[in-house]
Amino acid sequence: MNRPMYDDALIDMLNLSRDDLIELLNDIEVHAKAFKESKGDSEILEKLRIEHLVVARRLRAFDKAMPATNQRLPEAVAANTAAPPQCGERILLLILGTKKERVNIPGDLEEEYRGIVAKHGARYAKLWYYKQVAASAWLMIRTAIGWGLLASIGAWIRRLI
Amino acid sequence: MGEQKDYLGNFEEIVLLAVLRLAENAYGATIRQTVAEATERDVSIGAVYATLDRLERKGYLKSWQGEATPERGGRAKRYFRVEGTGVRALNDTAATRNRLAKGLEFGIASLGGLI
Repeated sequence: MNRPMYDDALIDMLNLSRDDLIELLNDIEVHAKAFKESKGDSEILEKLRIEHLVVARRLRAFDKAMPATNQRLPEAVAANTAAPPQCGERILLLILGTKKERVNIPGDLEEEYRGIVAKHGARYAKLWYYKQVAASAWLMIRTAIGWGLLASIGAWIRRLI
Repeated sequence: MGEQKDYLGNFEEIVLLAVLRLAENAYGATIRQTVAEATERDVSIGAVYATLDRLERKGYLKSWQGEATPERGGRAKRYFRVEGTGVRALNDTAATRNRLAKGLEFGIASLGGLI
């Protein structure tokens, strides 16, 4: 097989457009079909299967980020398209009080999330993200209940006076 | 007794020291990482921000919005800097702790052994 194997790093490096990805996907399918027919090396077939999975996943991510377009992703975005789980991010935005918090905290978590994906993989990173959201939510709820309780005590003292 | 001293809570002290250590690069993500590494515990970003906000209200810290970067999904960073009052609070807390712990090394160690 006289072609490089396309993994996430190579796709990032070449900054492939949506059309490029579709062409690549077709190319992999043609290669795999030819290999199957000629009963080629099973190791190469497995590599092609993995490559197909990677490219298809990237295509889905591309469509999710830029639906109905065929523009190249900005370089910095293409360098790492791993986005935190949308559900977790929505919960976070829901529990954060101020506008400042809604900008800074998800930004900090997203930055760390990308580092964790690169270091430990997407599954671990997602778990870490949800843990962060849950811990922060618990803190907000505790603080809210605490303030509520203080306010009730204050009102009760005022009534006594 | 002299002038009123400023004392910090345990987590407040750790966060303030992390901000001092990070100097120009002190913002939410780096502060959380530094605190997590130093305490060897997974610290939540919510807890860090709650403490940072409290310290800022007390006048120990100052914060300002930084630049938005693509790796943060285009969201801006909030940088922190320790003010003079923050350094004084750190010194007061450390001095009090040292005064109380002075000469107790043996006592603390044996107490730990007994428990």
